[in-house]
Amino acid sequence: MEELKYEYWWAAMPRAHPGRVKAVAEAAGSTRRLYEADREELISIDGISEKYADDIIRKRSEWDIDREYDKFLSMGIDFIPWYDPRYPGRLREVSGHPFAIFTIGKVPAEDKPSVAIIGARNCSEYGRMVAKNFGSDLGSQGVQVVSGMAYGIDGLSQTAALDAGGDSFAVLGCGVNICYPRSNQGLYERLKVSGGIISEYGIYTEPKANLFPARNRIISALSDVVIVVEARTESGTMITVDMALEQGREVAVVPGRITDPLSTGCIMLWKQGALPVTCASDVLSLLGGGYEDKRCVNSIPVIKLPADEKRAYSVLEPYAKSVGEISDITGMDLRTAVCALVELCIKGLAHEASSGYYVRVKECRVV
Amino acid sequence: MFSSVLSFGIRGIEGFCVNVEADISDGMPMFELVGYLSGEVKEARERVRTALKNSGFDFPVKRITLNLSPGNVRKQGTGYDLPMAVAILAAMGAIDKAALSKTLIIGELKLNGDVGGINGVLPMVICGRKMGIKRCIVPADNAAEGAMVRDVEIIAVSDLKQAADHLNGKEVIGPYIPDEGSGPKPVEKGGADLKYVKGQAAARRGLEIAACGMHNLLMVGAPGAGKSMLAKCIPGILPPLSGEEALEVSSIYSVAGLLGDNRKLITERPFVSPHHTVTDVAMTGGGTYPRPGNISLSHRGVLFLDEMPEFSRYTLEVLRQPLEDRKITVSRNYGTYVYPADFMLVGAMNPCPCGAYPDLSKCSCTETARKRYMSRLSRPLLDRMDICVDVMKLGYDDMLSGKMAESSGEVRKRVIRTQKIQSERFLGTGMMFNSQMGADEILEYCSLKPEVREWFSHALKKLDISARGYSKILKVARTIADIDELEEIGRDHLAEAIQFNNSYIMG
Repeated sequence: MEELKYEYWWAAMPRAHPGRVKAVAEAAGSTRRLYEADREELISIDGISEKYADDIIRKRSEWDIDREYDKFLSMGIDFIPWYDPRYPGRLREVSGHPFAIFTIGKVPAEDKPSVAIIGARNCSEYGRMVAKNFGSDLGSQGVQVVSGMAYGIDGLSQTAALDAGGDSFAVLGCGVNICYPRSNQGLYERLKVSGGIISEYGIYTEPKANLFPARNRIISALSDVVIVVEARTESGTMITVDMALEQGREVAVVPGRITDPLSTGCIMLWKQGALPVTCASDVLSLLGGGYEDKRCVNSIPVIKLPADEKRAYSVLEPYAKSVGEISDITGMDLRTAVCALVELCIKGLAHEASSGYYVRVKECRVV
Repeated sequence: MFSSVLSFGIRGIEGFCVNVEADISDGMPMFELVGYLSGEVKEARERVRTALKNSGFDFPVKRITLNLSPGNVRKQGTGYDLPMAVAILAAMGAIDKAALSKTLIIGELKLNGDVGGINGVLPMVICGRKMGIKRCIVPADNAAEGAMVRDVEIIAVSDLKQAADHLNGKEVIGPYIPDEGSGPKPVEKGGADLKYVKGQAAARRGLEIAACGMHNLLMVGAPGAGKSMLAKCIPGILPPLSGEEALEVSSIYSVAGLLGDNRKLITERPFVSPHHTVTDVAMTGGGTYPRPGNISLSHRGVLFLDEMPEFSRYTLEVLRQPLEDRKITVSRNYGTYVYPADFMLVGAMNPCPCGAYPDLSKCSCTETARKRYMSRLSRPLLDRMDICVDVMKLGYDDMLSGKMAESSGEVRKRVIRTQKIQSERFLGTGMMFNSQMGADEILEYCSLKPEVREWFSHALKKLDISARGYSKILKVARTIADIDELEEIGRDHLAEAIQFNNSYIMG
């Protein structure tokens, strides 16, 4: 118990390289030794430079370890060091795993498959639709959805998984008690109940750009398959993919249009050998272990529509089209087109993506 | 010897009567001006004395007292110069006092005795007519302006001598007759006619509905899509100003000194487009000596705010009260002034800071940046915008097609017809347009058949439309049904109105 206090202190230490934390603790023998050692002794430990030793000493003097630890205990946040049996096995098996993780809620269950759904924050309506479909279908099949709770693909797939009754886990690039981005507060609260919030950073750590690449290695480590929905070739998502490949995780991509800048990353990965997936059952078969024979959950419903709506629906795409374009293509006059589109929105088949622009949000066979 | 001359001042956009009283008595020679005067009125002492001398009159070496009554109202402007000089001449006996009765005199004096033009002559003459004044002596520069008012004899004078001779009957000037060229002109000017607007079917439709019900309009579109051009077309599709309205608008411009050099009656609906750096005072009117602001200058016309989110928050928020009350009350040190401000607000904005959204191959704005940009328009202000239209960038086919679209004149016919239906509906309520309906009127005039109501409530639920969206949709649907000349609001009217109540922007 006493030892945990020093481990908590060591895990909450700000540092240059997250992978070094555990290595240094191991080299030192115990975190208590790190806390009690003087400068000479610290420098003698493998992996501690003079500068790092100074950082440690400074942090020690700034921090009242007893008070901070008591404060932490009262917050209802779990602290799980790497040797703890609750520490996720998927995470422990990868090299460079965090020394400890802070969690609110649960950690991903070992006996359930888990899938990361990741992609662009600034995603297209197409990405939005795909993320929701995958999140929802996988969540309803008992697959745990892991992601970064960011805007766009991340948050949408996680929300959809929760809506479908599944569990979802968010790995944050800040302290677990900080909701980032702020506008996902609703999702953050829901994740605490059905799933969990995970971070290797100490509580109250502010989100900083340089913390996010490292948290991506945890997202990929916690999952069996990483699905990339939409990503540009140079993006944070690509960092996660690199990590996943290093960790031996399967990477799957959702194909998009070759001309779409948001699909360039996916298509590049596809060319490099990533598996294309088009529905949740594709992902389930990748997971194996009895999941592959589940039915294709993304079956297309049949729906009956009046003629005008049918025409309008037929030209809608997951990429936004304006009312004017729709009326031009279908040859319907503007008013008829507008009325049909509003009806489609009411029926949940279309969505107004931006002022006067419509997208198809649900695939149906229209009769 | 005492004399009194009738003159006028301006409060808000209304004239008020000022008696310019002069007394010449024996005593120490002096020239005193009293009557709660602002700086420029006090300076009249030098102008009047010099002008009298240079017009061939002897300035009396006596004790001269001038009073501008009522003494408790602040006087400002240079229009009192001429009445002061006339009052002195009358007190001297150089002008027959009987000639001054029921005669309104206004004008600025120059040192050589010339009479210069002033602002606000039109409302002064209008006010004078109400008081039963038959004759107005005004500067020649303002003659056309004064002649807009019927039944009042306008005497145009260009110097002090002329005015004195006229009053003495030495050389009588005939009443000013406006030249015939000043009649109403055709509306089209500067190419702002809908026939030059290619494509943009959705935006044209939104514009027409907005004009029909005088709904405030928000246009969203990429830079260069033609938002400003569309906005400029609105005055041309609104019904022409009625005679009453034209005088009202001209009065405001007269007070603001914006009637232009020829000072003719304004017959076109105003289109005011302030730059986004405009201050709140310039918007509402005000200043130490209040002047009408942009919202009053767009009275009976269109106030167009291009790049609306770039306006300062405060400047936009001050629009809220006048949008409700259709007038603005400005209180300053020297009094409280009411300016009319019954305008149609038309805003234009980009869909995101870079303008390319939802085209994600060009738009690089993050969701946060987009939300921040949208949030610059406050919710209460957006609540007052009934219609939101999307202005698309023009396709090359549309651009190159030589086809002329429907002209403003054609659209205007429908607008006039629809507005007539509304004015008949609201007869005697003080309202004129569907956009002015409150909760009670919506209940009365926007009743839905049971099956339509059921569909509408289902739609509201599914599309997550708020209570304020609900009443906006009903008001716009009422206008659309009026365009179709239907008493009953149908499903298609509601559906179209829902599309114009843009959830993406309006929330």
